[in-house]
Amino acid sequence: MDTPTAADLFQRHHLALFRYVYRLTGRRDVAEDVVQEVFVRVVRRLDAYQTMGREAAWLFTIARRLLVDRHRALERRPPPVDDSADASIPAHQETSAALAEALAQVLEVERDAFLLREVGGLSYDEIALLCHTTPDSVRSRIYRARVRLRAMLSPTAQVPS
Amino acid sequence: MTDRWNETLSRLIDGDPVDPGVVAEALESPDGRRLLVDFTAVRAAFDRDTAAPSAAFLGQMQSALAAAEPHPAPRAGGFPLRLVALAAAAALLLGVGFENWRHRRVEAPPSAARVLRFETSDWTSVKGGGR
Repeated sequence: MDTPTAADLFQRHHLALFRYVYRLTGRRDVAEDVVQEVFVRVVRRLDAYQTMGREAAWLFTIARRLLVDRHRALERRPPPVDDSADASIPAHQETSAALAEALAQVLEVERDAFLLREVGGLSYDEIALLCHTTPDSVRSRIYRARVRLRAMLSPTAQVPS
Repeated sequence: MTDRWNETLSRLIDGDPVDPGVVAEALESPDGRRLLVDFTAVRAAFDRDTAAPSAAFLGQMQSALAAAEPHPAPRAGGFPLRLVALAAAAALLLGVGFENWRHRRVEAPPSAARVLRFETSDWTSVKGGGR
């Protein structure tokens, strides 16, 4: 199998990477910085890229490591509403703001696992590897995140006790 | 509603193998059915997410990645350059060999088309030697 180019990988994955970091941190500037840095590393290390793993898992691993590195420098706050790019589309803006508000109610470790699954499409095993935990723990984090999110995003849901 | 339902239906949404008995138990209850609908609504909400990097960022990244592309791969017509070079060298050697062989053929004496053989016979001397 041929090794994909960095441009191919960017085309395929930049949006999911951006949304993962943006929804995790609530900061558009951080999301763009991290995506940029991910692809700087991809360009440097593409020769060493092994096709045994999935592209997405590799890219999200880099992104997550970058976020961990930034953790001390960046004071993570509950995601603020930052939807300047969607300002011309009120319906989308509402959706985006609702997501940000709902995610703010979710614990960071749960939010991380949930976004890796929901936005990144990673498997439970891949997420467990990234988060240095077990697949069972990942399953628990994800369902807890879903239970919290349903209270905010579903019109029929009741706030969990 | 139990954590078991929560976890099972969450895993069901993600396509993870689940215990069908727990799914049946959950879906027999109105709360369980509502939970499944709500989890689906959460999935739908994220599917509708429109957050995206700015156009300026995309433009910069695409330009930078295009510039960072490696020089054209050492390939020609789908074959590795090394194979192409070997094929060219082989063709050159064959051409030189053929030319040598052809020149050698031109310089060599023509091969005999027929062979004349002279053998002793009952020759007699005739005076005057005339015919």
